Amino acid sequence: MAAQKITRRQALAGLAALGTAALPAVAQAQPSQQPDVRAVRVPSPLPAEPEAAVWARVPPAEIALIGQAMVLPTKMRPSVRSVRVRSCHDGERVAFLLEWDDPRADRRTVKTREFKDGCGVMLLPQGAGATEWMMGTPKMPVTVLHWRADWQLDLDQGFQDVEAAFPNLAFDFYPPLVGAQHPPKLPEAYPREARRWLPGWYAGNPLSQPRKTSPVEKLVAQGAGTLEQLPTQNATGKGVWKDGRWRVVLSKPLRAADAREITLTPGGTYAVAFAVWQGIAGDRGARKSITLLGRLRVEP
Amino acid sequence: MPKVYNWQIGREMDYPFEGRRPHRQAAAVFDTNKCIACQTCTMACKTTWTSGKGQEYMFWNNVETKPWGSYPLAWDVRVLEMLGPQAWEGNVYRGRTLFEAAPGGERAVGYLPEDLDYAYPNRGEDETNVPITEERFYLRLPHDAWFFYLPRICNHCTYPACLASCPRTAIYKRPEDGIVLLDQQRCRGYRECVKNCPFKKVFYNHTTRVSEKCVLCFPAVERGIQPRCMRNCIGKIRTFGFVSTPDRARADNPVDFLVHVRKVALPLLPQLGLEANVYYIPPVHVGNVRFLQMLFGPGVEPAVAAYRRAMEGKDDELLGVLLLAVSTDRIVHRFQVRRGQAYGYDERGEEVVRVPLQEPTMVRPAYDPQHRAYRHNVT
Repeated sequence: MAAQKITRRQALAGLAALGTAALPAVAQAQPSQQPDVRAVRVPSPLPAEPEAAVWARVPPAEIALIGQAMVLPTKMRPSVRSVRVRSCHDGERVAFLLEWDDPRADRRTVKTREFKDGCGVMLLPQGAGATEWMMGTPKMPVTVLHWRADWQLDLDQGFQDVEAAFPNLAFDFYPPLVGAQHPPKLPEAYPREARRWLPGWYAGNPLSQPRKTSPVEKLVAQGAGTLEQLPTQNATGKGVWKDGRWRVVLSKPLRAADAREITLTPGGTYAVAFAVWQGIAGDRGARKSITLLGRLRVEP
Repeated sequence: MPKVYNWQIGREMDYPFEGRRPHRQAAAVFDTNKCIACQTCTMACKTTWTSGKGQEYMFWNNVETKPWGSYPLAWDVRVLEMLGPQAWEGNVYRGRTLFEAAPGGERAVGYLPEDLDYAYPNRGEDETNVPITEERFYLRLPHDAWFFYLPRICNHCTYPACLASCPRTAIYKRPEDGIVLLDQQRCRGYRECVKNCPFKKVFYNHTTRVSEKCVLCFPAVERGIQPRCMRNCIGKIRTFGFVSTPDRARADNPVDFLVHVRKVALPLLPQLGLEANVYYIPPVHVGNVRFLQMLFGPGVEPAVAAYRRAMEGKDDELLGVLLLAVSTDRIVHRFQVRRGQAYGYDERGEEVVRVPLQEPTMVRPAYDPQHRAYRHNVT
């Protein structure tokens, strides 16, 4: 019955995609329902850019995206039809290249109704099933790599603050920064004590840190709603939007740095799923397009 | 979905979580008859909590003019329109609550405001329900042409829609006082709470990219002191304290007395099903009772009658409680009216304020022979 549902959804997504002309040849092929991704061994260093030549040597897997119907709030129809995935490793780190069609890049998350584009890779031990697919369980945590277009923009163009979205903003002064350069720039203009006026930052929320080091978060979850950043943020990546398509690299060391994080061993097989968020569709959190849980084989 | 009992709508209703009431529930009563929209509460809150970068547009406390004012734009009519017909049978609400009307895949009915919706916090200020162009509007009570002020803060609901909507349970209700807080460390800026709070009292911080809301000045409340917006109220319209459920109402608790004993204070939009904990004494001069019933539920007419009685000098106890409002910074847990004075007591039973029901007056002759001068009434 579940398979039937997916087929119907696929048909709807397919109808929507008819309007999109000139799809690349591979995307026109029927995407596979389940991920079966091979992390190919390549010489160091791993490609950090989506345009790196080495990616051409890595076989792609086109994977169907479906709606998220298990956890409230749901997203019944995927925003995007499929995601193309490549993976490689060099014995030290593993990298993924995710590509999907998105007619508009949504990068900023400053305004109340602005949601970002993004993508995610969820890694689990082999043997994970339908329950673990939903963001893991207390017994089987999942490791998540999450690339965020808003952090990419912060890195590419500097921290996007209020004046980025509201260029005509006028404000007399921000306490306690009397006499500070206007508008005060984050983080330079804000000594520790002044951050009290920026509660998320002061409280140490990773989302509120104006200084970014990577556009990719490394997270752990043990069930829906339990997602949290791992202490060691050593995931890297880069996303580039060009000609209506996002190409995003996400990478992490094979070996776990933190408790509950997954270690990938060359020669091993793991469970994997992917997700795509489309900002213009209001995607965030559980409102996302996802793949089924599939297989990741890490070449010896 | 679990069933919870909501006394404001006189029935059980669906809520995503099991019903567990806090040990006590912080609450307030706002007397709309005394509010002059001076916005001192708004500024007291603004300067205390939301003067930082990214918070420019936020008003955790605002005062809007009804019927036309609203912040953010049309928050109330939009939510009521999404809810559909709202029928009452006596004191039992027969329509659907926000949770019961939730579309498939959602926790509640809601919408996410546009930036421009926040851009006119004082839209509709002092505008009457109809244009005053004809003489027939003069000298009649209740008025055909009317407006009144509605001061608003987070209602620290018993069944908050923001809390129910957060997929990460980053919003929680404190068991010790029922204050609803948003964890600044856990929030991931999904804005589900902003979408589903019908009162639109959760805000997205443009700079920290997570959401924020009224904290009811909990550091003060913990020390027995009233929140800033209440303490600074020029018109002394705000009674702050703790509200009980009707079965446990205490006649000497100021909030219980106003809400449950005299029933002059009514919840805001009870049909939404949140059991909001800021109560309003409805305006007595408004000709359109149905408008008031839409805002405050079926108890409007008895509340207006009870309030008028007190204003006519026929209810010293009610007058006394209302005079205690904002007469002290301390939270008044118990009150008493005797021999022309209203007394307020703190949690330990110590007297913290005493207010005469009638100000002492002195009448002086117009002519002062000592200074050989006529006195004028100068204020």
